[in-house]
Amino acid sequence: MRSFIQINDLWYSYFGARFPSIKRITIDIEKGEKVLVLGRSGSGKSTFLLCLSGLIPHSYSEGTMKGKIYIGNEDLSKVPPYFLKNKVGIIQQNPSNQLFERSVENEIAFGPQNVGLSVEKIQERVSFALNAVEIEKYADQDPFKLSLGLQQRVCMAAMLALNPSILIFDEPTCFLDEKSTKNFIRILKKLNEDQNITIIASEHRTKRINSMFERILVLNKGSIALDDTYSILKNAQLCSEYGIQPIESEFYPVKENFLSNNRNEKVIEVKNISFSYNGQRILKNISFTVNKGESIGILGENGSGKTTLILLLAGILRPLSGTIRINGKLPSNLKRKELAREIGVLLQNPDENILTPIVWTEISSSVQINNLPPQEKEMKIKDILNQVSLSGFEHKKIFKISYGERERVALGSLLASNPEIIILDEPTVGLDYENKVQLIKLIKNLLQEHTLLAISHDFEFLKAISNKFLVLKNGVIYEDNNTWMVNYGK
Amino acid sequence: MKITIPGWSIMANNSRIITSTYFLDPRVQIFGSCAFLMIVVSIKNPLILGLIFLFVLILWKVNRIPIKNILSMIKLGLYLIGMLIVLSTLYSYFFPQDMQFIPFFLGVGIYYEIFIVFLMLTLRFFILISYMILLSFTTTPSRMLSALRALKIPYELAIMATITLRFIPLSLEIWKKLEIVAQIRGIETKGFKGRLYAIKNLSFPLLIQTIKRAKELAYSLDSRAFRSINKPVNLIPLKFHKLDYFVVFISIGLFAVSIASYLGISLLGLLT
Repeated sequence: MRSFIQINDLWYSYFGARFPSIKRITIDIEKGEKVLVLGRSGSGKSTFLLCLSGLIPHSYSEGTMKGKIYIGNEDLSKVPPYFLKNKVGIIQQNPSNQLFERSVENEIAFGPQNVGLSVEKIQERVSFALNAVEIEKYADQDPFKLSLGLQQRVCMAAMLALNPSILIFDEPTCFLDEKSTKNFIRILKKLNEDQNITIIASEHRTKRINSMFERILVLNKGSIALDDTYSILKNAQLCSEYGIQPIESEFYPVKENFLSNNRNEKVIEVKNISFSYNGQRILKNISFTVNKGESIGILGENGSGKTTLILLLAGILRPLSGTIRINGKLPSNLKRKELAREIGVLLQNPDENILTPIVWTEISSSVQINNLPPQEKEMKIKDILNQVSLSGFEHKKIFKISYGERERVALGSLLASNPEIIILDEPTVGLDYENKVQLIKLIKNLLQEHTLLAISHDFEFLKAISNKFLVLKNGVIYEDNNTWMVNYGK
Repeated sequence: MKITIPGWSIMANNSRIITSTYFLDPRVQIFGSCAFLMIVVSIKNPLILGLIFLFVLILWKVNRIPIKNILSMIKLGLYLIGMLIVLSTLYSYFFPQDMQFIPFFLGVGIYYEIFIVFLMLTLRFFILISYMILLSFTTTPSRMLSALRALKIPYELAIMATITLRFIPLSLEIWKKLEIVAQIRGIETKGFKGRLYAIKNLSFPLLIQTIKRAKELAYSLDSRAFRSINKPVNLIPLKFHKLDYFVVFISIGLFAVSIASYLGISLLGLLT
């Protein structure tokens, strides 16, 4: 008898690519199974999930597919996903890019409308989906104004309204804080137990969601390298071979000798600042100081005001009350060029930080570099590329290189201004374990010459690079000088 | 469960003023937009165009759309007028033209004809952009989709138009983020030089990011059974109210007046 999902010798090659993205994949998945797909960036995880969702070959037309995928008795290469009896829903990395309606209930009703259900039946499905992911009270709200965690639940509800047998997630927790991740896992478990929905997900942060999955598939260079239970994540050697994070891994905390010696001088002084947006108070009377050479980790739930705080420090926003001094100067008194020399910010998602198509032009887009004589400019760019381990990438197209490499290009363009203070906003989002380890090394090297502030939901990353923490909660900041005492998530 | 008319419930939840613009039947909004477009194109008087622009801005204010979204556009227009004055002055000295030159002080001035043509083109551009933004802020995608389908527009085309409308505020958001990225790198995006830099250098990443978002959205719609049947269910009932008839009547009237003035026909003359 055929398994619920049967994949026979699946291959997929993108046009113009030298090697197939996935190859020789033959596996069976039973109904109700919970499968976690792991592997390095570029190992073929996303392509594999797109094939399973039916978007390849029916919506994606950027390559050629060989092999068969059967869901029940239906051949996915012949039957588009919306005609399948066992429907498949896929939720991609960034939930906000998958929404388009102005109310949650209309977003959820979109699918059932498309399959031609009666109005009563649609209303019933919308109610069921809202209830299943516990967002009834947000039914009338604009999904774009909800937090990322809630947006992800809206995406899940939109799929659930189509009554799927399979739910697929591509890095579901990468934008979520600890609390939202816990909620996400709880809801996923409930859906699996109550509806017997098969759950397939890819993820880099294995520690956050391993408890949910009983079966692990490891992809390496497009092939299935391991198909086992989650106990393989305890095998550090095996994990290191395939570039995945073992459960019991621990990053070493930042050592004193990594930090600059001169740490008495105040570089950032924030005094009683408040900030409101659309009548809502985001930051309330916040005060803190950062000394030269310190490395500060900033924690807080989604929507707690972390990004607002860094935009205030960078002089992009102005506080409603209170003062900010960068090296004793008010940001509002400095020209952009001068401010860029004092403080550099790497915003969340490297793709949103990129302004030009080529690595070389991107690094040289900073005014500090652009104004140098040609020879000096060339030397400086090469030096920066070397610093971010991207030598030889000078003339590469940015959108053709991997996500981790794009992250380093964005960091390189920030270093081009040679700012004294570096602020990183969620730098580990979307990075695989190996790239994260490389980023930590890179940051530790930068700590000798720069003061660092990093915002992240990835607590183990922050622990590895910070000597002090600031915790933002409900617009108020709490300081914690002891790295090991912060009990994030509680 | 009660399916509410989207615009209304969102407004109630966000405690914003519920204005009549939101209550208009989306078919009337589409009809009004077409009539408005024709009126703007056919009017040749900059004063009337200026008044229409002012009217659209009042609608913005009433609907609580942040006016600062359009201030930068107006500033750019003022900069361009400044440039026009400089060029006109230089031309009047070195290459005098056979046109009426209006001096302001010390020989600095502007050619009247060029100024009028420039003013009309700029105002038309401003009106259309600000009206499109107003429409996208005050019409929910599902209502627009229902209206287009009621007007017998093929479903695929209707959804494309709806998404385009939805992408106007999203593109504004991406643009703001790109400006922040440039500012962080020490590049000024305010002022005349800064605006020119922004238009020249940020348009490419804006396009790339918008295409990327559109692609992801398209895949999301496809995985929600989009295109699976020819006639999806229409969830939102469309119904004409008194206000809708009034707007249609006014649109037709204004359209007739503008066509008549374009053709040089005096309506008063016709009546008498």
